[in-house]
Amino acid sequence: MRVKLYEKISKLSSPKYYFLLILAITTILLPLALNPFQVHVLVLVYIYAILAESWNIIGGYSGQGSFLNAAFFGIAAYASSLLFILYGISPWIGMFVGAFLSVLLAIGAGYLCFRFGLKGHFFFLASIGITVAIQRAFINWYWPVNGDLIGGAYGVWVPVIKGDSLYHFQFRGKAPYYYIALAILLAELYITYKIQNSKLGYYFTAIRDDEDAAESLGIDTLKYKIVAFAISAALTAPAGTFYAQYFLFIDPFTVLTDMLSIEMVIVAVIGGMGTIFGPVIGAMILRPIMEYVRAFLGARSGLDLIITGLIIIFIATLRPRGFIKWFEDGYNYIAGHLPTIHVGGEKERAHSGS
Amino acid sequence: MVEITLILQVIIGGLLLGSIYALIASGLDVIYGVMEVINFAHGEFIMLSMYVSYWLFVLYGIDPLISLAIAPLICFIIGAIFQKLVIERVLGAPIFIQTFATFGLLILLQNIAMFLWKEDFRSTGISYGTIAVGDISISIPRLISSIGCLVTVGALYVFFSKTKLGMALRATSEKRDVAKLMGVNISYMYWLAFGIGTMCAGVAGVFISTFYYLYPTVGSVFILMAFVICVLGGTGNLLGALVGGLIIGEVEVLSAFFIGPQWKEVVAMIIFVIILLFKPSGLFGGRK
Repeated sequence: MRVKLYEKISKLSSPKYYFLLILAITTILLPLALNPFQVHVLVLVYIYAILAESWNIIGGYSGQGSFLNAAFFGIAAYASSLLFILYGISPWIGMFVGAFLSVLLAIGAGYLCFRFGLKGHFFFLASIGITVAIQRAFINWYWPVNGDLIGGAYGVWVPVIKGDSLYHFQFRGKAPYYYIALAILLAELYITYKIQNSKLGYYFTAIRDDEDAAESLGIDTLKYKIVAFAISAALTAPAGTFYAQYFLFIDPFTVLTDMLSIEMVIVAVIGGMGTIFGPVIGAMILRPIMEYVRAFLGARSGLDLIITGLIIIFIATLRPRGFIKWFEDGYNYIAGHLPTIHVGGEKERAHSGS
Repeated sequence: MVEITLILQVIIGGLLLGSIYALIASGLDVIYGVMEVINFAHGEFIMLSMYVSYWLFVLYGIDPLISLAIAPLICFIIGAIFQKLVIERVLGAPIFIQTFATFGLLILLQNIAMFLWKEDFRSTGISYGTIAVGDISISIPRLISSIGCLVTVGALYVFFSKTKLGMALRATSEKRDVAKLMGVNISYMYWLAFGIGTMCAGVAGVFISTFYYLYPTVGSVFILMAFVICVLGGTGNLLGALVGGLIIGEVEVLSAFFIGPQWKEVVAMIIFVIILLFKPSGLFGGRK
């Protein structure tokens, strides 16, 4: 036990590991040092990283360009908000209900599409069609509350609770949201890491690279595409509930629009799809640019998205693998130039650990 | 009891709408047929052309029907340049990256319009009047538009079936490598196809500007239906685009009339998904 602990500590003497530790501690302490707007930007970065990460499972690893993820997001947002408003159920439980409904949708839509062999562009278009149909259904769907109608095109306001309440998933400050978003993101990164290094992950990438070859090797491609879709749906859902509780307002035009799916794709591809950290990097690059341009020039100036459009065209043309390579190089460069810390004279060990 | 003239009026409205859809879908079809790229920015070319026609009318008093000579040309040039600079570089990449590049163009064009002209709804405000046939009245701009769109689709059809250039384009769409061996300049064909495709959107845009509002995201109104039509008629098939356009036009107005205007897109999307599932090659689609 003691030896193991010692080995772990001596591992930290290598720059590769202690640099990571510094990054982690900085991430945790950031809300204390930043102003609310900066924390808000970071929360958005995390939301988009979560969305792109979950899209990454179906789009990046399994190679099925899904547009349905906006529907998973919206359904979870609606499920938790409506359960809370109509029955007073905690959004945390609503989050799981939303995830369950999203998974059902993913299995249903996935079975339909993949059973009939939709691939590439056709899966793309079919999933856009389903998303738009769901959005239109929500635009025309109202729920009675105390004699009033909520929902539909008016959207749903989540009732505001006095003070902070973990049970109600509502806080006055931004820091609690920051930590919740961070926790969800880390959990999803861990899940993605586990999937990538499991048999399941190899099945997914095999299907992406050559579906016929995968099928001939005995992989049940229909089953694993649906599995990938369901995992993607389950991972998208928490972001939906989080979004609803963070902004306290949802409507079909913001949480169920196909534009949201496009944004997930953009973030994932800009960072590097089919990689664990790609989507996070994409969100880190894109969101701050957009939010700051919006803050300085107004929300509807269009300039933020002009820049986004240029970045997309740039990435598509010159760097289809995304920004992740540059980040890896940068990380390795910094880690390579930091000194090794020697713990207790165990130089040899420290070096072999790096 | 619904009156028969009312239904007739609705059906005619559907045909007028459908022929405009047919032209938009033809443009998408040309691009998809020749290079297998779905141009998500197609609606934005409609929007662009509508603005060109609008500004020419407002600033210089040029009738939109005259700007038919200008706006589509601008669309052609932008489309061809985009093809040359961006799509050509990513043709070898996974299909995903090509689509992704057209998203970039979509967002870019939409927001340049947003930046320059703000979110206001504008309208050329021309009134060409209406003509009445019995109890049925038809708005003249819509009639002109739909005839103009049909003529353009017809011209495209003739271009592809009768001219040498059109045949070279078709050869490229059928077998890229063989066409290359036969001395067809593939790279030239590609930018020509992209230009023609976006030009179709440009022509449709000019016509639409005579009777519809314009705003930066107006393209999304038409693009979705254009996807439906392409799939319905069989991708890369002009006849399919024409028939599909007329069908979807009818579906849209009839479902708006009988079920309610808010459900017309849902009906279209359900048809879309059903076609995709059961006959992804479309009504007129062969193998390709």
